[in-house]
Amino acid sequence: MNAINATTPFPAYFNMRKDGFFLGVLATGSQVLLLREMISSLQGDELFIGTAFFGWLLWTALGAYFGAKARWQFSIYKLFALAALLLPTVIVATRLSTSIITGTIGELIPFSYAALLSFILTLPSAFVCGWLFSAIVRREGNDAAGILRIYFSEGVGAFAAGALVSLLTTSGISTLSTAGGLSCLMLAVTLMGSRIPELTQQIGAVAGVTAAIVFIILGPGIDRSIDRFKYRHYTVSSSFDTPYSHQTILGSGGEIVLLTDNTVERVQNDVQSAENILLPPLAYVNDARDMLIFGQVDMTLWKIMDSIKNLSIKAVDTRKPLVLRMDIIGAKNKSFQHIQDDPAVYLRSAVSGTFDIIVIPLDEGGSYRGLRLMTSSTLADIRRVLKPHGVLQLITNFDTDRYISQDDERLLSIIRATLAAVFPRVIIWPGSSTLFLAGDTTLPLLPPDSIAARLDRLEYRSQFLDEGYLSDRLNSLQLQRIDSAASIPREANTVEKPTLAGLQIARRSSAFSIDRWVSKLNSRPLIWGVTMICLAMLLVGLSVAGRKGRWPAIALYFAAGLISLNLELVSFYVYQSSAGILYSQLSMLIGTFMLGLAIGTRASTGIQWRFLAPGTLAIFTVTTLLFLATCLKVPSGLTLLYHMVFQFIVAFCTGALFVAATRQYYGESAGPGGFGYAIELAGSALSALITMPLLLPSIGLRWLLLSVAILTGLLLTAVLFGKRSDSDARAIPRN
Amino acid sequence: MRRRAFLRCIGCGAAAAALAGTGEALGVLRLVNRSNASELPRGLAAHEALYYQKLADGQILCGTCPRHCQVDKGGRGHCGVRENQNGKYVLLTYGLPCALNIDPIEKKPFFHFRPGTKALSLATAGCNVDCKFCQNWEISQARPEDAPNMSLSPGNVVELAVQRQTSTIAFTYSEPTVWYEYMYDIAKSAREKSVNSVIISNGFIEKKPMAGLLPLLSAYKIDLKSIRDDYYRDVVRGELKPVLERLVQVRESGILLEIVNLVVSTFNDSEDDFRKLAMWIKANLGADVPLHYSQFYPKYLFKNLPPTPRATLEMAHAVSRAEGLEYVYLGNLPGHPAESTYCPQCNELLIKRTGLSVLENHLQGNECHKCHHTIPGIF
Repeated sequence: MNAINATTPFPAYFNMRKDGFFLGVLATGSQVLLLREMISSLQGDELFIGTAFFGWLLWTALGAYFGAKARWQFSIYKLFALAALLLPTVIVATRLSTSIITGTIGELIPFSYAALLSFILTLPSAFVCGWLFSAIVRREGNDAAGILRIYFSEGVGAFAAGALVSLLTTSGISTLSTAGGLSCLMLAVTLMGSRIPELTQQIGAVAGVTAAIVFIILGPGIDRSIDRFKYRHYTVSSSFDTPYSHQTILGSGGEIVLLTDNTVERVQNDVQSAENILLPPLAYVNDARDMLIFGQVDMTLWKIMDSIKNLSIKAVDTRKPLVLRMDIIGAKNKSFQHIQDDPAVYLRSAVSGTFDIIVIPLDEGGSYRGLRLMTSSTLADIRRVLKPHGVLQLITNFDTDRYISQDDERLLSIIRATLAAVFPRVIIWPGSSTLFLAGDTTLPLLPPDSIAARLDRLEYRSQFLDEGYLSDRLNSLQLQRIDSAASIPREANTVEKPTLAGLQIARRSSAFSIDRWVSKLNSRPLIWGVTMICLAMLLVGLSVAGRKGRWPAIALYFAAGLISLNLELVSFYVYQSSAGILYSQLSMLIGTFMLGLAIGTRASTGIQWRFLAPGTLAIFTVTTLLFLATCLKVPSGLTLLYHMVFQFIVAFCTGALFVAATRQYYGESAGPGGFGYAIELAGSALSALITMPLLLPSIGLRWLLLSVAILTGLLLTAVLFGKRSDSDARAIPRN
Repeated sequence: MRRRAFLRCIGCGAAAAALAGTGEALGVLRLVNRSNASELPRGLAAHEALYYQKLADGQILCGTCPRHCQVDKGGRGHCGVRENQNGKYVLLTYGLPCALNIDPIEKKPFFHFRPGTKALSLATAGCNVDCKFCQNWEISQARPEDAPNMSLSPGNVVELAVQRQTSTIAFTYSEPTVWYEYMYDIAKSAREKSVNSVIISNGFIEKKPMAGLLPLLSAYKIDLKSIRDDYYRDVVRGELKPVLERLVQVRESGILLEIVNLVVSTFNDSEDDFRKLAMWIKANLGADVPLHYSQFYPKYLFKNLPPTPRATLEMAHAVSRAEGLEYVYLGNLPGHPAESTYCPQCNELLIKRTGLSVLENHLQGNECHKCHHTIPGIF
């Protein structure tokens, strides 16, 4: 009898699976919900996702290490309870962290602070989850078969957590509610497994489940209370989550402010913004009847619309709860219609030649999520949906009123190149909010007085866009300056090569002296390209010419981490580009990955090394190439399934490659150890840090995937022709 | 010349041509050039500063602004544009503006200085404070080598203003104090050609440099960002006291002074703030100093802070008027009555404005057309 039977009333085998399962639920639930919260609260971009992943992996590994080495041990149930309580606590701490750091509301924090915060905030949950894994393993007596069983159970638990979190967040349950609910459920489970009287267990379980339900019901109130504390100088009229984002609606001096992920999205009574959305395109298409706007329109725009006869506006926004609330807040206007749909999907299904004007508020377009509308393929859809003399207006936050900075110059020229790839004529309005107007060759080049005269023909009397304002904004000096800046030849932004997002990361970094190194790294893709080639050559070289079989194993460990996280992140990106949604499905994809990892590890235990390593690398290569060939052609209804299958295969291969590397490294005699995990973590960390912010915008999706396929192909060749080892050592499980 | 540099030159040339008008394009092209790294070390200037002291060990004590930067050899002041080059303190942006425009004077905003006219406006990189809401942070917080510099001597600036028939040159956008020597030489040349010079500044300048500059200027606009020390310390990262002292100095010099207060939601927007500000102005500068309240728009580090509500600005206006200030304006609210100038004696509308446009001007010289009350300013 081992230790577990002495401490619990459950049969050992069953108990181990249960512990592993619930660890999977808790670890994956915590990881996903924390990541989601940090992206929302810390204004995270793609670079941030990588560092947050890295933080989680690092602390889990350290937790597992110290959990295995520490002399004093905690009860598994206490650790479970601690991890469960930590989850909502850390989420609340994350939500308040920026206000605590800056002491002010609405102040940006440097990326370096956000990255540091993500390390600190992931520490408690990740460390305890790592420790918990080691505690469960230790109770099993470090038996390899038992470890694998826990690991497999954890994978199943991770998948279950992924499905649950995805279901809840898609239903509009907030991150904090989900975390609180999950925490209460895990506390109930902990009570049921602990050594207390059965009746107390049952009461505790019922209380836990009830608390979970209550937490989910009361969640919106808690969200609102936190926002009330954060935005204490304002009136918080609403606070809720959509599958995409956290929304807060504030009242301020009789005005309404819509915050999305703690960033100002729209303000009521902002006449200047409303006129900038509505009037410039109307100057070019004076008799416009049908207008389409992506995202939330400025609430003042509804009032302006009332003055313009025959104009009807549709606003497409995928955030259903927000659409409903804004409809309630705003005055009913029969000429205005909210459509709850993904803009890209709506465009694909819209009838050709429907709209006179389409407006995209690009703002700064700092994320891949926002920039998916600014690609050649989406713009081609827009052109199809526009009437023959229709106009697309793109609204940016770039201030080109007085000068054009070098960062803005690069971004403006890419936007222009992207528009020019689809539209024969592109006009740019400089100003504090730079506008792009695109259309066919009939789009007239109008001087300021003509624009003012055309606007005068409208029934609405403009407050901002009068002749004086226009003659200043569109004076010849400003027009020449912006034309020369934006006409520098650049590559267009595409899904395959999202150059805009990469530059935006650099632009944001330039606001903080501490972050300028990010900008410098980002602007040197050649160095990264050469580094990656050298690294690939080193890995291949080690695989071929290793001594005593250890160096090839190290190469395999590192490659497993590097390739798997690279493909996982690329899959997130492509999924987001196709479906327009990521954060509510992130848990599903991560859960699937964890399941694949567990099954891959378990399934490969019976396979001989000479088949395992080459076979795994061959599957990796083929899968990557297949993904490259098909990832942008998947029907919209199958997108999630496609990426789940891809993530599963990648994770399966990663698990198998890890087993192969472990056998290569430790041989038959040695037991499992943490060294391989550390090396794999180093590969994952490198991948997390450079894949999305540096490699994707620099070399593009095609070359990125092709590079991975070449690397796995070279490793396959190296494994086939290099030094072989047929040891049957067992694998080390990963958390 | 690299392709990028070539395109920059083309772009700048085109802009200059537009600036000067078609007939004068060639002349202006000779004046304005993108700074070329091959002409100056690092593409920067090295014009000796006017106000500094040499300390021991090659250190320098800057005397331009109240920050009093003590700069080691090879180091730079807080502004990033003044460098200790082997014991000689130099301005790196002399003759290198990075922003050049023709703006309506109302955009500065000057409401009591030649309404309806335009000003040749320019700036180089650099600033001596770090406002978290800065509208021009891309140049004010930039190192001069990272800014989109042009090459334009003081004489060329004045020549350009004359060519464009703008009777005013405005030193604006970034903080002109940090490029003092360039501004000083331009203002001096401008005076010789009967062109006015005006400055849009944060007022964070030492007494002596200001005294040297005042005789060359026609109007001084100072951003009095708050009447609270803690706001200056936390949000502006400067000091209030020297700014208040300089306001008094400008007022005593007899030069036209206008004050701007940017109202930032939740930071300096309380009734108490507005009242204390108005009281201080009235007591120390006089009730007839024009005061502009500007609406904050999310920018730079305060990008996620909502814009100032209209109601807050109206409250600021009401409080300041109640405290006895005679000329209180609201910015960024086109069409608002508080954009216009009224006679403080008979309340008659004197100058009607909307946005950047002057719609009506009923002044007779400097007097109200109805009651002949004298309105301060240069009209």
